[in-house]
Amino acid sequence: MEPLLKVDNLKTEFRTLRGIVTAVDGVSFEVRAGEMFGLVGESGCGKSVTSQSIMRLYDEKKLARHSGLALLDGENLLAASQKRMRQIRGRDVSMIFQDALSALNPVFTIGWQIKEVLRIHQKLGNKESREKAVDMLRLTGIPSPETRVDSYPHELSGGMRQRAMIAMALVCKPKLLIADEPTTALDVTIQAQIMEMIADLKSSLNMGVVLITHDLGVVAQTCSRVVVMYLGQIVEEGDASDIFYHPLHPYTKGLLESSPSIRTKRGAPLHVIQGSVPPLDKAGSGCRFADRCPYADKLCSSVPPMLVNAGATQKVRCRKLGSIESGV
Amino acid sequence: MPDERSALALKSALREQRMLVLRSALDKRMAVAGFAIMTVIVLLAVLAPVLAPAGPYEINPLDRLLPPSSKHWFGTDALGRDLLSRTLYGLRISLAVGGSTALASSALGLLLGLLSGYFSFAENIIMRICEGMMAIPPMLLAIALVAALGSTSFNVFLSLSVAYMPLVARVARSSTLSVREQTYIEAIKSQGASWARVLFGHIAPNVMSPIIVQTTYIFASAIIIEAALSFLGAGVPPPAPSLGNVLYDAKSVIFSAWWTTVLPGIVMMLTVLGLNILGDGIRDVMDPAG
Amino acid sequence: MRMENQAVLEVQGVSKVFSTHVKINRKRLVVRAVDNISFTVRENETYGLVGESGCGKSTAGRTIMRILEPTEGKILFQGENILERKAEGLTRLRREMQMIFQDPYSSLNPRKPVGKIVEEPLLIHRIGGSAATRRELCLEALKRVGLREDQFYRYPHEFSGGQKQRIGIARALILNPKIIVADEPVSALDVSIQSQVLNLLQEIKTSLNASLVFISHNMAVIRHVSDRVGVMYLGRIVEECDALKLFRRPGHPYTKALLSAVPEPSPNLRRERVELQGEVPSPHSPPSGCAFHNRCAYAKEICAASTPMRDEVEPEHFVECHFAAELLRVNQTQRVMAEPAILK
Repeated sequence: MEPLLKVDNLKTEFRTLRGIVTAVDGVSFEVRAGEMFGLVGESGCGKSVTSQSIMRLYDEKKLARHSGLALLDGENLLAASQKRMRQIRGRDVSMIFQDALSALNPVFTIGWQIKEVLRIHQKLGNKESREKAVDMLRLTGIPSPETRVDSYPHELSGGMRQRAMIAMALVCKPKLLIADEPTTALDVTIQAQIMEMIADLKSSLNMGVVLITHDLGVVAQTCSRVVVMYLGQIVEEGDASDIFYHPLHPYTKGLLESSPSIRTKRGAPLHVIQGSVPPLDKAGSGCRFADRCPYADKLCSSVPPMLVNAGATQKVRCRKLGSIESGV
Repeated sequence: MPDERSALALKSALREQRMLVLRSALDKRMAVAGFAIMTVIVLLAVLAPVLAPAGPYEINPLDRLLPPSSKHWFGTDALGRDLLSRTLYGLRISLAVGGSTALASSALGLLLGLLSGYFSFAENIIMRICEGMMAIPPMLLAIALVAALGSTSFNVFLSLSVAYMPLVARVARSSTLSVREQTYIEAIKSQGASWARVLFGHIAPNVMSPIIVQTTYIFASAIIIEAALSFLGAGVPPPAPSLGNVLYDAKSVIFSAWWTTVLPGIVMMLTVLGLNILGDGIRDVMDPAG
Repeated sequence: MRMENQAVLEVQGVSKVFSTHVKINRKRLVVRAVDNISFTVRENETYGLVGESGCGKSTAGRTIMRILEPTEGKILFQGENILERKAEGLTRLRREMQMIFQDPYSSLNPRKPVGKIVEEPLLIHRIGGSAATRRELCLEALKRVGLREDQFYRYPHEFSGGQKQRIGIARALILNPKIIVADEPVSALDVSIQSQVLNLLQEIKTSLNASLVFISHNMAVIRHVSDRVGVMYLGRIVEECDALKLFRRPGHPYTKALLSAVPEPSPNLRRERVELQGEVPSPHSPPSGCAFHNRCAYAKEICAASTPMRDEVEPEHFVECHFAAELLRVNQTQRVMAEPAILK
């Protein structure tokens, strides 16, 4: 089956005061229709830049330069005109964000904002689009949507706002939804509700979802394929069960062992990844994780490792794979 | 032994930090330009007695209204006084009045703003008074005060300070309101710090940067208003050569002797421009994230 | 063994009521942010205070620290009611209780070098004598949290989030406190930095022989660090017990729902979720009776009518629920967030 989204060797460079910085460096992955795909990493790893590049949201005259391919149903988004992108955004690909309060315009009702998306893409009558907005709000689990449709963002609770934003993103039934930390600002009980709702809508609309998050737990509970990023590169890719039960890259291992969960022993010192993520422009020529890696040797910091197959469904970017696995 | 070594390391760390601050300040072009312009202007004013070719009050009836020449760079005015000398001495008075106004109104405004931002009971009293004062244009307020108190340099300074103070107080108050909600203020309170320590030791340094910027703008604005007051006859009393007085004297010959207005005017403009550039530069330098 | 430890801090029936500017029927609307909570922190233990946003856990922490004055109740520190202390005694007390804040970006004064930030408590409490000894103490504190002495004169913005939190910890430990109240100390940090800071906190707590009150919304973190846990909902502690027991066999329906919502980083471990209806009600108008009854799957008539009392259902296990004992019996068989025997 052809993938819905095929990203191939995506590279995004930013022009900054200190010269050109490569924020995303050769990222490739595929997302299928009806699949939830996880893009995991800590702040500064380039996971959000990846999604914004695919959506072409950066100022390409002054700030960003893209190369590579991002094929949505065979059409290269990176080569599309801005006019074509405006048609695609909101209709074929939608995004939802962490902070619904700033993603919704405070001076319009949520109904108005959902209808605005329909006005842009579908030229529907007022009554029809209102009905659609109400339906969409109902679908996202907002109680009494007929009255809620006329409320302003600040009149809703955090969870409700998130639902309203999702309704706005999904009203044109997009093929692909990019969810950038959609539940990070929410409480766990609300987070569970929202993730469940996204998963349900994904199946009923047969849409592909790219879930961008730093929360390993959320990914484990929802995604079938997972990519782990570090400093603009994919360090490991695999099925969720590969990543969580059989992690190969020292960074993935470190992340899993260092976050407290039922896997870690209560009270005992947690596993620690030494140091902190260096600034992008300070990344060395070799493996970018080398100076924090317990397995690294001299060659690691000079020879850049390739992303290689490790098993049928897993890929990993590490030179020391053999010796790590044999426990040396 | 280890103490000495660590003291040494500390000293070098301090030196390094100072170099870092200096270097990042030198990176800010606006700040450097503004600082350079103002240094030149202040030096010119301070060294006026040395630099000026003649005394500011020296009347020479034979040399009336001479155009700029190698002897009189700025020409002479209707009484035959050397305009360059009068401009340099005028700069002194204008800078003194403007500078002291800026300092006094900022200091007082900062204090009132801090208090009214921190104590809600003080807020209502101080801010209502300030709002009342701000309803009157500073120019009118200054004229009224000078008219009531008599026109001397000190009264001009006094009335301008009173007129500008509410402006600073408002800025200081709104900054205080936001700074006092910061967690580091809570942190220091949880140590049991007294209100004075919290307000003056921890809030004030964080309120300073918009105030200092404001101060330079007031400085510039006070020079202009002082000139305007002199022009209206309510400023520094003639024949003292404030920039306003120099321009006032040139009013009657504005069409026959252009240099009497244009050249002192350019000096005043450069001063005001320099102060504004300096203000913007200081804002860049003071941003802690630099 | 832990039972024998002395109580250091006893919070008895403390409430914090905020009056708002909103008026209804000429009466000011009040919010009971903390509603009659009681708990005890023992020597050398970590007491976890967990709950969702708006449950009052941060207000509770600030009330214990007396950053906020409690509206009613008693707070006993080593047996003495600190609410009766006036200025002088209070300052001395503050030396014994230190706080670590959530946001490392706003909890450090951007205009002060870190050396000064760490030194400030010494100045306020007039400890350390000469400037030289004070500086020694500061350097030692910085070293203990893993910072270098050449960073003494650096300003906060030159540090990363994790390092800033270390500075916050240095400021808290320099006075050798008996109690450290940590309000969401790792919530703003990246996963790989979180573990560094959690380990450091644990280390510092042990070396100071101090007790830790750890406030967090993150169940996994709470589970990892705490000896005993109090679960807060709408200003009340609805359940309190030994951490191990709480995560195995929660007694309150809310705790159960909360635990079941925590996503575990194990794809095959999909817990039976306890659905929670709707969202946390507004603290302006909490429901009658048990505050949780309108979202509770087990609610009966009595729940809306009367407020459940704090009930010791088992030794050292307190629950505010009319049906706690019954539910515990049912839960006996199902483990909710237990440590799995083997994890491949």
